[in-house]
Amino acid sequence: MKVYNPKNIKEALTYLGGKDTHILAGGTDLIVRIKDRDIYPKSIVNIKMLHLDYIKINGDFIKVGALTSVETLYRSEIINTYAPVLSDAVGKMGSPQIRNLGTIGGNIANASPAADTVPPLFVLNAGITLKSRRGKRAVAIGEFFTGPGENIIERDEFITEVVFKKMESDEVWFFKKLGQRKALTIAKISLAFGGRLSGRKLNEVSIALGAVASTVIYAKRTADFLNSKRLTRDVIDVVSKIIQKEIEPITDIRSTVEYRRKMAGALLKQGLLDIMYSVIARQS
Amino acid sequence: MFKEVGKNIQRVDGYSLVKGNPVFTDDIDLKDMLFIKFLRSPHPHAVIKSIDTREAEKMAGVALVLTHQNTPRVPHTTAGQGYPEPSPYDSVMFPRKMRFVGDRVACVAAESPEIALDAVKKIDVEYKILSPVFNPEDALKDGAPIIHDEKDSSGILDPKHNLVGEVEVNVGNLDAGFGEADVVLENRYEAHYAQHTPIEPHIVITYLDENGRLVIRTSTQVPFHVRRICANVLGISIRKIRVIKPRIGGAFGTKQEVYLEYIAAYVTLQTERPAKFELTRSEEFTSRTRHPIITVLKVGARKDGTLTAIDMRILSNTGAYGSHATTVMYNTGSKVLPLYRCPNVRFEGKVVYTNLPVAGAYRGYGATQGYFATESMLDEIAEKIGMAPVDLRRKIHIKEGETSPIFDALGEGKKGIPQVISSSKLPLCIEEGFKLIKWKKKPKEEGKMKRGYGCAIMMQGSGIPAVDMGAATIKMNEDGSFNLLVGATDLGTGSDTILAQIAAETLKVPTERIIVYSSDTDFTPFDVGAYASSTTYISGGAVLKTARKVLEEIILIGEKMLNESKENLKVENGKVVSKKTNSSVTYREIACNALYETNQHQIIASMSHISHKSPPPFAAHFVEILINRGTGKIKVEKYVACVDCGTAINPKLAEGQVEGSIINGISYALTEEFIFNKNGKMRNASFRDYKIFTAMDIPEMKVVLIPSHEPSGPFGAKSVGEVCINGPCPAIANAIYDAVGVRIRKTPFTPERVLKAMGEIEHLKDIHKMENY
Ligand SMILES: Cc1cc2nc3c(=O)[nH]c(=O)nc-3n(C[C@H](O)[C@H](O)[C@H](O)COP(=O)(O)OP(=O)(O)OC[C@H]3O[C@@H](n4cnc5c(N)ncnc54)[C@H](O)[C@@H]3O)c2cc1C
Repeated sequence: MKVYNPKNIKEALTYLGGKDTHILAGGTDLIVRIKDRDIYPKSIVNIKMLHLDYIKINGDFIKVGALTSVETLYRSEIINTYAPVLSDAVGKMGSPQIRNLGTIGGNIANASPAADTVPPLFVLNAGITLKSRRGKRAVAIGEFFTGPGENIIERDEFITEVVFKKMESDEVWFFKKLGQRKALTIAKISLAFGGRLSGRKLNEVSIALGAVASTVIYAKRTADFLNSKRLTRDVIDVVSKIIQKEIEPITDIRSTVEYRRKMAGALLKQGLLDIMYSVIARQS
Repeated sequence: MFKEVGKNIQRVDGYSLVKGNPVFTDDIDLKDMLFIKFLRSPHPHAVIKSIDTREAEKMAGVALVLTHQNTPRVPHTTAGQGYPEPSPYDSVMFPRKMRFVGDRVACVAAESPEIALDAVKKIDVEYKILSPVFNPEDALKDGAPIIHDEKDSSGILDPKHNLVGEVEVNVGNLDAGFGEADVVLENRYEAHYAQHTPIEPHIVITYLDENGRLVIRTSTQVPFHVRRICANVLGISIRKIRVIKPRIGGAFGTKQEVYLEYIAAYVTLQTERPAKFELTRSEEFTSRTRHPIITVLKVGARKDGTLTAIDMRILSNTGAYGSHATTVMYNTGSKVLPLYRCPNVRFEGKVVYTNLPVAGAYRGYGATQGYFATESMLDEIAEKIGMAPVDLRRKIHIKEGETSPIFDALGEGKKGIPQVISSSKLPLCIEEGFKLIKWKKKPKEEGKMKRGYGCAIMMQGSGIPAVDMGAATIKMNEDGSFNLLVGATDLGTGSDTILAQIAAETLKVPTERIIVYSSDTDFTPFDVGAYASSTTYISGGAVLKTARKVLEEIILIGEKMLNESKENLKVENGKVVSKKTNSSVTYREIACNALYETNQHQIIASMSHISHKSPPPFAAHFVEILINRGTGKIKVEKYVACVDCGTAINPKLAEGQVEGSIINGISYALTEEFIFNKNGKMRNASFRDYKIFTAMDIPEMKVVLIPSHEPSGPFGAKSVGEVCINGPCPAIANAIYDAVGVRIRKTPFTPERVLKAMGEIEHLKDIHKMENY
């Protein structure tokens, strides 16, 4: 096994393209797979030295370098202020050790249906920037995943940046994750919610779910139902049933179809109730 | 009163552990070491038709491949227990028949673990597949696949029905008892599989010493049983083997099992090279497990809470081999039923083979599974007769000075020994715990969160009466220090420290003057090992006797040196002092006198100890939980354990055992679960997928030691290592009922199962289907 340690992006790109070439970021997924003898890399391109560890504000947008660690995201004022839904999710990831090593690029590229940064990035409608010797392209996160562990990255490409719009003050959000225990746990189901609220009326609703399908998915029908609806107990009860019908989860070692389905409703309901109560509290 | 006992003396091995000194089995590197890896069966039930190892043997770096074809076939039990062993002889080094997914087909010894792993894959095996049986109830039926049909096994009661053993005892008159009852309830409770997950997996290193004797350095609870079992399986005499137990990274019962040692030893004997055999974490999961037990329990009670009849029937699943099969089954009755005052009791047990992972000893040893049933049932009875759970507990338990006919009727794998409870502070434990939990009868609604309270009482034993034996040797050095040599086995529990404290207290010196060396079959006297909560009580008893003997000798020399008779002498602070003249001789002077001057000899003594009783430690547990009604998740808010372990020789270490048991138990109750595929293969054999509690999950715990004085124990001590694992399952089940009014009679209490019990989800597919077994 050959390990390359390129100093810049251009050099890194020259090593990519081979069949058994793997990119190494934090290694918290990759090394586990190698140890499990799930993959047998011929060469490894370590991208740690590429200066892709940054969080920048660019007008209305936030740009996050692919090598930004989960812990850096969690501690970032910028993320906390302009992408709180992501901030909340990264706070629920792994353990301190994993958060220090794991990167946002790795979490996305790894394409786990349970990846914790992904549902918030769906809600933020993030764009993923990919570079190759052929050039550069951007892909919406909603179009990025093709299956468990599968994505649209070509062999000669890698992720350099994640871009999304700042959340604004009329936006409401939540992220919910159910695991088997408090830390170091993979989601049985996760749900990210975003939308705009005027008075008690919702608009531009976006809902993304983790661990209920082969990739993270949008719950489009459920979101559409909520658009331009006033938040009431009845609406919340109805929508928490709609989402259960919209998804097709599976049973695996972490949970069951029935539980996951039920939880999609329960998590959405809890989150929406919290929003509704805080609106009511503010209004009175 | 005491100077050394009852004090939080620092562990004798504390510094070296913290500094990372090379203290564990794996911390030595020997020249020319070979590394061993298993080839395991992919089938739950199959016979090896042919096995071709040529490709593997040809590989560079492969030293030896072992299969059933080139290893001795000596039926034995892997359970490291007393002799003659109570478990059936149903195992051989490499069987020809595979009995669970993971059974051992072959192993490779190679220059590196990687080569060994690659070589394992090159072994070509042809199997004749047999139909498996996973459900223990099915296993008993006529026509079920017969798992142990080999001719040379022994000690299996009815191999044709996969029945390893059974027991039935009756005391009083059951029918009359139920006749007198105002309420009779009958329910079925199921306690599940679990693994001990010691931080250090099973590991052994073997080598030949400079004289060609076999040395086995192993992470074991039972060094002397390792020596005996290996000698038998290898066909060599005991004198050719030395077993050393270094520091251990946890065991909890799984290392009361001897099954890697003789394979590594065989490799060393064949190749004359050192060999290392370490299980991977995933192998560790199916090394040994807790016996899943189904309990059908029928209890009759009067309106005032008096218990009139208990009928307990258990079916224990020992998996593919019968390690600890009958003894665990007996224990489910013998360590549970005597707690309850009830004149009419029946206990019936059956233990069966299935094509699932092998069960074995696990902290609690059957009692844990039993208490889940009895302590859940008591709450169900309490509700029926309109009594508070804690009031019923106050009423029905055995008290100091009382006995139970069960002690006599049921022992471990055989009849028991009658005994009277000579120490119990259980009533105080219940009162103190009840006070600390601040049980609210009707906690206020908290939105989607529901609060609930639960309790459970429990006991265990201290050693196996008239079976467990420990011995100690103490010798005196010329600086007035003492070598304490014990066969007893410190697993990380701190037993080396408490045994030193017992010696120091008796010899009237500070503990630091005691140099402990333990668990080396060449240099320490015999001890059965660390199990059955025996070390403090049994091995501690041996240390006490030995220290007293040495003290007598010291005084004898003091008499001569001070020219004073015994009656006029006292011993204090490492000196023998004349009560009359106040003149004294120090231990140093006494030792030097004995070694160099008068009547020259080594001051030394060895004593052995057994006990004809097994005084139970008692505990009362109380728990407060919050259930999220939306998600079914349970949060343990507070856990209170009040424990009577007699005198706590080292309170910090005793509390550590209690806290450890509680976390172990809560994790077992809430998250730990074996999930099998339809082939009986464990699907979640990793820490990624088998969730034990992390530091983040640990609730507020309050541990109170309530001392009693056990007259038969060293300085009044009883055991503390196991008893508290019996509480969490029933206490939490009872708290769930208190919170949301549903009774869950099957562990673990996952959110899925809680919601199902609450009628929130219809049925559970797949995931929970298999672990019925
Ligand atoms: C104990 C433990 C706990 C965990 N807990 C969680 C959790 O709670 N939530 C969660 O979501 N995840 C969790 N994970 C998974 C993992 O930590 C995260 O997915 C992490 O973000 C991966 O980042 P990394 O930098 O370590 O990726 P790596 O392991 O370095 O890479 C992962 C994959 O992505 C590829 N890759 C990496 N960077 C790029 C890039 N820039 N462009 C293209 N391909 C790339 C690699 O080739 C590899 O295939 C856990 C892992 C472990 C071991």
